[in-house]
Amino acid sequence: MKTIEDIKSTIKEVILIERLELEDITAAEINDQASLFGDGLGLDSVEALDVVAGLEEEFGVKLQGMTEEEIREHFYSVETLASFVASKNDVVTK
Amino acid sequence: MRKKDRCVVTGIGILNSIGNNKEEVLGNMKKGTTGIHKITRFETDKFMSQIGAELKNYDPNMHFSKAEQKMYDHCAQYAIISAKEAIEDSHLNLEEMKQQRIGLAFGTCNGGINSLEEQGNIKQLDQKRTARYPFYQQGDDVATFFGLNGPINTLNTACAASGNAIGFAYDMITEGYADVMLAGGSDSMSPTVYAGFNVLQALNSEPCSPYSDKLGLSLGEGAAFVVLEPLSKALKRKAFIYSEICGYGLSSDSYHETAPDPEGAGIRFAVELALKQSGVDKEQIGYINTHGTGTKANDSAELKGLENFFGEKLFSNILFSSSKAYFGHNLGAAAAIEYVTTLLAMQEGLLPATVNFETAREGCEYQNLISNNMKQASPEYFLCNNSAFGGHNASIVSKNWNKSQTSIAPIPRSNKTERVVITGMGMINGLGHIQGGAFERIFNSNAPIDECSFSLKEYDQSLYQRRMNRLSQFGIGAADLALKDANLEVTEKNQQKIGLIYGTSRGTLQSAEKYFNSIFENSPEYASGIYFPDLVVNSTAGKIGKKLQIKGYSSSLSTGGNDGLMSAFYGFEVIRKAIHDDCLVGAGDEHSELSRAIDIAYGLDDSEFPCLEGSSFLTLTSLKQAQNLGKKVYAEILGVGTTFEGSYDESSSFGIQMQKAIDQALEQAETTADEIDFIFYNSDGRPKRLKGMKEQLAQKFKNQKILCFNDQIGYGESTSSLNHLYLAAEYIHFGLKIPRYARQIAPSVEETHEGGVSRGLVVSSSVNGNNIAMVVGSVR
Repeated sequence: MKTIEDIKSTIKEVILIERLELEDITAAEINDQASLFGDGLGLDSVEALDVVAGLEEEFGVKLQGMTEEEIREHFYSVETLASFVASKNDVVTK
Repeated sequence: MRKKDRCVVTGIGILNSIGNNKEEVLGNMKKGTTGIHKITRFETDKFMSQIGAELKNYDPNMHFSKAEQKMYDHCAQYAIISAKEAIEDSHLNLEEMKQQRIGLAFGTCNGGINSLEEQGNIKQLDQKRTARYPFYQQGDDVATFFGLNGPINTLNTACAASGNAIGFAYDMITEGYADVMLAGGSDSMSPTVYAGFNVLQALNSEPCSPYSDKLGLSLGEGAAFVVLEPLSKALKRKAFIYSEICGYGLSSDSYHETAPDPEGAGIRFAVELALKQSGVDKEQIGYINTHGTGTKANDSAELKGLENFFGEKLFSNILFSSSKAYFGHNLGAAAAIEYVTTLLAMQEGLLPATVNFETAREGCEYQNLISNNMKQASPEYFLCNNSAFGGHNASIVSKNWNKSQTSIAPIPRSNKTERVVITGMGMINGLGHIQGGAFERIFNSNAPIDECSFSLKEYDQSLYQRRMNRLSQFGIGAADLALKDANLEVTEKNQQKIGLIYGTSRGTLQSAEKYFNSIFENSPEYASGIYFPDLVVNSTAGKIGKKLQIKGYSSSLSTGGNDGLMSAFYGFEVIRKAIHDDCLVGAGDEHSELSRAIDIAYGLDDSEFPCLEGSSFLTLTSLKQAQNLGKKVYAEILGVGTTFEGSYDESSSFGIQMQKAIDQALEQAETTADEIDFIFYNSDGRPKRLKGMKEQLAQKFKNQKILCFNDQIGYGESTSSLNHLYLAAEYIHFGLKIPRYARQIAPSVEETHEGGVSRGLVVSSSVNGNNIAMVVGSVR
């Protein structure tokens, strides 16, 4: 079982740094609350869809087919994304 | 100057999911049948959609011998079958036309991807199949199958590719470079491509119906071809005429790698350019076959762009439809398939419909959309539009000849011809980055440096974006240098007035490798969404356009050795026909493991030259503009010729077509071999070919220096041909002022008043026998 902290660190290290190859930033420097889009990490729509594929692969959840509104809501930050993944699956222990 | 002619379609051929020939396709369209069904060729369980428009009952044994089946992959096979149908339909006997210049313009999005993906890995590659991957191979296969000797070019602008191909072929006919052109496109169903559209969530789980509330596209496969001829010749031989191509337009959104400009500004501009070139008024357009893929991003943007161009009132009266609900999105073949099916429908006084249609999507509610049933109408003029990943758009304006085979009223078309000069140059490679003249750097370097260490981030951080592949970094850098050298600043005011033509035979294999590995080493449902957009080789041209904000006439092409020079030829035509006053032309190469494997598959590892990576760009400008603005002019492009050997068999006759290309270039330049001061030639350096080319040139030019600089800068499949034009232009401009070396190049030539020399010839030959010759000279 994974803690919410585990999920956050997988999102940062495996998905954002390794999969998306974000440059000039380390996993440790990514703030849990910082916005993934816009002024934060500045992800674009293609990168957001690649995050979906990464989450599906890492956490065994099925996320394809989300509306843009749902993506905007749950993909706001690493924090909201981790909670969303946790809610999709029984992967969390407190 | 060669006489301009009008261009007509005298034969058509097609193969797709609703038919193996034109009769079957038309029959199924009339019944409103869709060819989109469960995918049979690969597993789709883990994808968001399980359907696609595959060919039905395809049996290669009906068309090809066992040996041919080994030689040609699906993409090439489909192309050959539909081209054959088109040729038969035109009643031309190619066997009896050996002395005529018959060419091919081929559009493909994914080329030989089947040949690579069926190997299941990119680490241990089989040479024969790997040699089918580069993007020029299928087009060259078609040209060789039919023994063609005219201009051969593969346009790789993804989903707009075959529209661009029809346009390029139109240029070859109307400008007198060819007597007959085959133009079309082909793409085959690919699990790798399917996985990419899946991860981008662009697939529809039901058969697509563009503009309806069912979001998403359906992938298809197939090919279609048209036979194009000058009107005068078609009338003379009493050929049946389907349509007349009156003009076409290209543009670049320069907005995003996959999504269109939300206002449809790119497609709008392509339509505007097409109508302007054709002399047809927008009020005369009676039907538009739209790109309409079914995705949310495409459909509304496209309609917005069209409505903005035509105006709300006029647009509401123009019938339109997307044909993709019949046979899916055929990617590089889409435009040709949609063009041919439009012509098929028109033969019966009908227009194609968007089938499977139930409820209109919000923002796409138009009464003038032809839904579900074909419409009885015979518009005189119509448009066929396509848009692509990378931001490229193509729009073709045609006249429907079905209304009357005797309709010969001339169409007003601008016959203005501009002179074309080179005003800027930039190159990036192992020598570093160079703006303007390169001879000093080349001669001062001790040895060519294979690797290019250029970093765009260090050159100009604002032009870089994360994960940018090296091919794009080289291209953006070199294009920026060529713009600066020409003192041409891109602004909001002029960004639609600058063209951008880019040549690459392989695209960025560094990114392609990452994408393939995400599938081969992992699993297709987790395919890399960020690297998928780079699988289409026009992505580099798209990135250059986006970063430099160039939005005019834009294309990307592959020839397997002449890419840079073919780009220069295309750019030359853009300026010559007064479409723009400025056009960037360039090419690039990037090293990678996969690139090395392809080199070995083609025997390029035997090359006598070191391997070059980098990019070169030239700014072409109309002489009028250069003079008005007092620009520095390196040289004028005076004439071009292009031919194809038409055989992979390098027997004694190989090279004869190169002589013909040279003769054509000399003729257009109104000069003779004796008046040429020097010859710069580009060869891939495989010993036999290099020797053959040298001998051929020495026979024709007995008193001039015949030089190749690839031993000093290296051979790059896409870039090297342009490097020779670059150096020729520099030599014409500075000539004897280049210290120490000038006399080595042309010991006896007379200098011009500026210190340069008068006239040179650039010749290049590709790995499969594509030839281009270009005469350049000082401005007189």
